[in-house]
Amino acid sequence: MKSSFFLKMFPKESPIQSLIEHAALLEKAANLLPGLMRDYFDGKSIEETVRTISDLESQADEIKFKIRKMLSSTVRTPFAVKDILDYLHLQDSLIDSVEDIAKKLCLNKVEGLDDHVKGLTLELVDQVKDSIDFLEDMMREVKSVISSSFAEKVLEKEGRGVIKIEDIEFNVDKLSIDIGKWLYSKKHEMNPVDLIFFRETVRIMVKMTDTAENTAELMHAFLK
Amino acid sequence: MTILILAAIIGFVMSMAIGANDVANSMATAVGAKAITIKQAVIIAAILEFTGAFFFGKMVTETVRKGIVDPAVIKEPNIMLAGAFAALVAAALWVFISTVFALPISTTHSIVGGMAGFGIVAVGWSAVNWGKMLFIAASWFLSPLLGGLMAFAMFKFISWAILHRNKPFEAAKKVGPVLIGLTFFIVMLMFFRKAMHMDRLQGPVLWSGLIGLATAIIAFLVLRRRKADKDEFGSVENIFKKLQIMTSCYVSLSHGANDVANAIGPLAAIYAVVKLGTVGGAVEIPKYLLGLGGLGIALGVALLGYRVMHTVGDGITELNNTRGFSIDFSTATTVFLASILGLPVSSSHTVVGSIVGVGMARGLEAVNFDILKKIAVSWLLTVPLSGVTAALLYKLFIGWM
Repeated sequence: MKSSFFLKMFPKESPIQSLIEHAALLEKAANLLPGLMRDYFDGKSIEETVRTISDLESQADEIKFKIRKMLSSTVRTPFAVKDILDYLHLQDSLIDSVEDIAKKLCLNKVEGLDDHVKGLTLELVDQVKDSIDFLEDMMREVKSVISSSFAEKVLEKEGRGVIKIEDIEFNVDKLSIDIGKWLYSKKHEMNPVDLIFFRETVRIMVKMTDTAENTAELMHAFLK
Repeated sequence: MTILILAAIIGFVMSMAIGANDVANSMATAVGAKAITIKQAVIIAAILEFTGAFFFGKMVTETVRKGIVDPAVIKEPNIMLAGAFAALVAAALWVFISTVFALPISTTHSIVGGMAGFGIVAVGWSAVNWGKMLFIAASWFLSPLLGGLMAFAMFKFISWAILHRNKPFEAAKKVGPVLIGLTFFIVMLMFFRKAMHMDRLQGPVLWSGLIGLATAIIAFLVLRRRKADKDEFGSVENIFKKLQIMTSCYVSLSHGANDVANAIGPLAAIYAVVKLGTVGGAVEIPKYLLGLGGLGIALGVALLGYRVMHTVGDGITELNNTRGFSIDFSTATTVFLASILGLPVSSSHTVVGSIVGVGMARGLEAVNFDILKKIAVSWLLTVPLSGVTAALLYKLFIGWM
């Protein structure tokens, strides 16, 4: 029937909806990080969690390819294609980082960490998780932004999300300095490989909050 | 007489196909938004398509009947009989093909191409009123453009006047009635001018203004007591959900007014020849012919529209009511305006223009612009194809006659 003529104007899947699904997978993966780190410190098996994170990353990759395909066709959204692709790249790098951390932890068991630095690290992981949670909230709210026709008060709400992530990034910086100081204070006691390994793991997490902040700022910029 | 009966049957079947195919254009947004049920949509559309065809269908029907091929240059009544019949059958064929293969072929373009095709073959290039043809062809470009511009402006207005306010729901309670009043003003103005034949502008403007004002006041009183939910933007959409029922009705009315000519225009030409025994004489299109077309469209909506509505309603659930309102209002106003000017335009193409307009105003989450390419191809191909089909059929029919 010719009705499909009308229907074809509205694609069954929108890039924005797919970005939201991608963000939801990222949040799901990031929420596994605190438990993963706790199990790692407690010497429990982390294989199952790592597998789950890998699966989530694969699903996110599929969505990424789908969004790219949609944007290379004639589907148009209220945003520039380049902005969406840049955003997707950043959001995808976050879930890649979650997978990197998970896989990295499978490779080596760091010895010589005391309760103080474990506590700091768990706090850091929680902060990373929170930054991703806020980012996911912001992504979900994009629908409300479009629905309100980019009303100032809805955009302000999105802006508050950016500030929250900036605050987290500030906390994470402080925590990473504390962890760094602790690590280098142990340079004569710890195995150098363990020291470098742990430092790299922490750096990935710090970089994640940086990226989450950049991602949120990019989103806020293209929403305006 | 036999050819008149045959043309009436084909015209009736074609009007049914028009009703079935195009009901989605008028009611899809309201059904998709769950403002009305499919059953209600089908009933409302059937009634208003008939009303539009019966009261406002004359102008475009006259254009198809005598605006494309000048009856004065056709000497033999048989030429007009065979030609109009060929154009009708050719257009019916293309409607059938486009329905089966889901092609974006406009019935309007088919019938215009068909009439021109037979005229060229029967008399020559001079038979076609090229000035009028140019005007019609221009309207095919202008109607989606106007629909798009109007939809863009309407959505931007709704954004500015309602969505961007501090209290959007309170703003919607004030602006909504104004939009209802405006819609009623336009419809009633056209009704008094064209259906009631009130030639002086003053009376129709006054009466339409009063009716528009009355409906706006009623709407204001109804909305006054409503309270916003926690989700204020959702509450605004709920107000527009109700308004959308009205604009969907408006699209049905304007569609009936414009598209009845596709089925009844050639039939009216045959009727004129049978009635007068000559070509080119002055004859009024009887109301029952428009009624026949209107009835066919209404029946097409009632019998086949259900399935179309089901597909479309499920497919566009993401379309917000403010957007649906903007699309419907702009489409209906454009098609209605064209009907009053006697210009046969494609309501489907106008809807597409309106959707693109709202998309350009950043109102839609995603729009597929791919269909625009298909429309461009349809513009280039439909008229020549239906013209050639009608010309071949004309040769066949004139041989028999």
